[in-house]
Amino acid sequence: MTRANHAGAMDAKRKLQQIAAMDLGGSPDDYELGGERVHRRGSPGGGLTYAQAARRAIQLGGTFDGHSVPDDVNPMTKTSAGVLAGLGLMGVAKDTYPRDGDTYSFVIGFAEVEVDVETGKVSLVDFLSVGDVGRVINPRSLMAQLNGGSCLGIAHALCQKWVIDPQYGLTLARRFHYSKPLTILDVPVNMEAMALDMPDPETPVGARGVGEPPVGAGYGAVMNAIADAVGTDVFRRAPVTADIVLMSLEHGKRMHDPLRAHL
Amino acid sequence: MPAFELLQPASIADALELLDRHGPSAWVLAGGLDSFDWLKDRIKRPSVVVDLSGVVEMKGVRPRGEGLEIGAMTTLTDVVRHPMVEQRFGILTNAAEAAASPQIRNQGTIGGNVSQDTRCWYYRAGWSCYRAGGNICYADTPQAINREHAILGADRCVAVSPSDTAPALVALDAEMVIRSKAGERVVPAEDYFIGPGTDITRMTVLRTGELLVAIRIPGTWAGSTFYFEKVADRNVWDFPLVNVASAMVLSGNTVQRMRIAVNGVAARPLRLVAVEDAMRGKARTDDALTAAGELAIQGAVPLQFNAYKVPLLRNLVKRAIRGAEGT
Repeated sequence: MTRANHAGAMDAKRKLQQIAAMDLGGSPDDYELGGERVHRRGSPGGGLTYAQAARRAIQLGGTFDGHSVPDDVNPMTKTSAGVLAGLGLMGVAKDTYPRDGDTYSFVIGFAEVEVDVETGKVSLVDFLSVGDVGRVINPRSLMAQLNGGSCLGIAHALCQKWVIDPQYGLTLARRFHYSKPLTILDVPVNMEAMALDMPDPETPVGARGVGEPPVGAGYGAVMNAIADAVGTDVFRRAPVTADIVLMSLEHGKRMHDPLRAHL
Repeated sequence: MPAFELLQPASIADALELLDRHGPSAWVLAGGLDSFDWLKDRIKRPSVVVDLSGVVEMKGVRPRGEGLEIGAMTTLTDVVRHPMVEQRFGILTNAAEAAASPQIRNQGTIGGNVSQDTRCWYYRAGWSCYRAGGNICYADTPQAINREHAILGADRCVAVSPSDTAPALVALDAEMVIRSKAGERVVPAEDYFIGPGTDITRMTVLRTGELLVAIRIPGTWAGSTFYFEKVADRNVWDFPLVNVASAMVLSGNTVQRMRIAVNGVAARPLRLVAVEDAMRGKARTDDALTAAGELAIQGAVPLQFNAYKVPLLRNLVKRAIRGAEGT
């Protein structure tokens, strides 16, 4: 994703430079971007604003405003570009950067739980997620994704589920909150996220994107922590609610059916 | 929501006049947190809604003799924050604060919390079961979702009372002040709630035309050793799986007298009289606690998926007697 974004952004930059050179003289390389303007190096207050350049792009049409796109872009990109053509200056390009193998982002979750053996209730007392997602570009956004994604996984381990009557096949959890999504009181106050900030050599800016892996990290870490607390035989389904734990502890064996359908 | 006539009386007398005039067509609206589920799902379609939000005389906490009187329209948040409640009847503070979520407590009332309808999945989804006037129970089958349902006192209907304040009020020997156009009657909290054997379509003794106007708490259990615990799937905005409320007067480690009530195990909060009698004058030894727990679960009948409530009830009763310092 980051590579494709970079390619599109570089295309937009080139077009801004070309328009500036066209209208104000010199060659495109004489111009740089800054403060939402395209200006000659060393003259940050001059040149054109992005808005002015965008208006020019619409007047020029063709490749500048998306009416004409490169042949090598993905057909879906072509369609999207067509919908937006003529609205402004469009940067659109295919990711043709070199690649040496595949790269993936990873997230690891660390969870500490406390199981009340008299009630079966599981409490999450500490949680940390660590992302290996390339260079960190926007720390606030990244931590929100790591924490937020972890919360969804934690919810699936602790409390959230569909409720569907198995005989009639009708949904009984008819409001979102009936499925019991996570609440702020179900995660520890000291829950944290971090990232390794190791640049990925396969992307031009070293970033790689984080996405949904925090969900798996949150879920797996909590499930493993519960197993560590009360044994791996206590549960065969999630969410691991108090009834599952208490019945297993009370009877010395599992008293629930394993998960067969995702219900 | 389906269309209805909205009537907004400003006094108890006016409200009762309206309820008398409209009879069974009238729906009483307190905080709305129970009502709006029914109305928005269009399962209940009253032609008249009597909104009590303007009845100021039903709001507030005031001293009454050695105890308190709490207007039924007092929000749960106001109950939680009131110093008079916390100073001497802290179990009600804890119980009210365990209910729902802060937003719901800001709008939901204590009268509504005790009078609320059950949350059985099938009943709430509008399926025509016994409680809805039909001829069947959908929850009491080998496959149905009955994880949250009753282990005690079931009688064709297996739904439970979901209130967190109810067991605390029973443990405090509270009284419910009910008014109608005909007059006033005062009912002990224990008897305010009814089970399906009495009337399978209602959770309380309130009849058409009646309003719960206030809850009175005597000074009997003021300042005693309290314990409240609620076990639920998530830590806020959730109904109890089982909850317990106890008030004990201790002499050293001996229980002089106590009250204990539980909810989430039957269609009404249960006062565990057998446990109270067994513990009177007894020391809180491990053996005594074990015996108390066994007494509490006598006669429990599990359904397919709620058997965990038997050990949960037993263990919570033991904890309620052991008290916070024992954990």
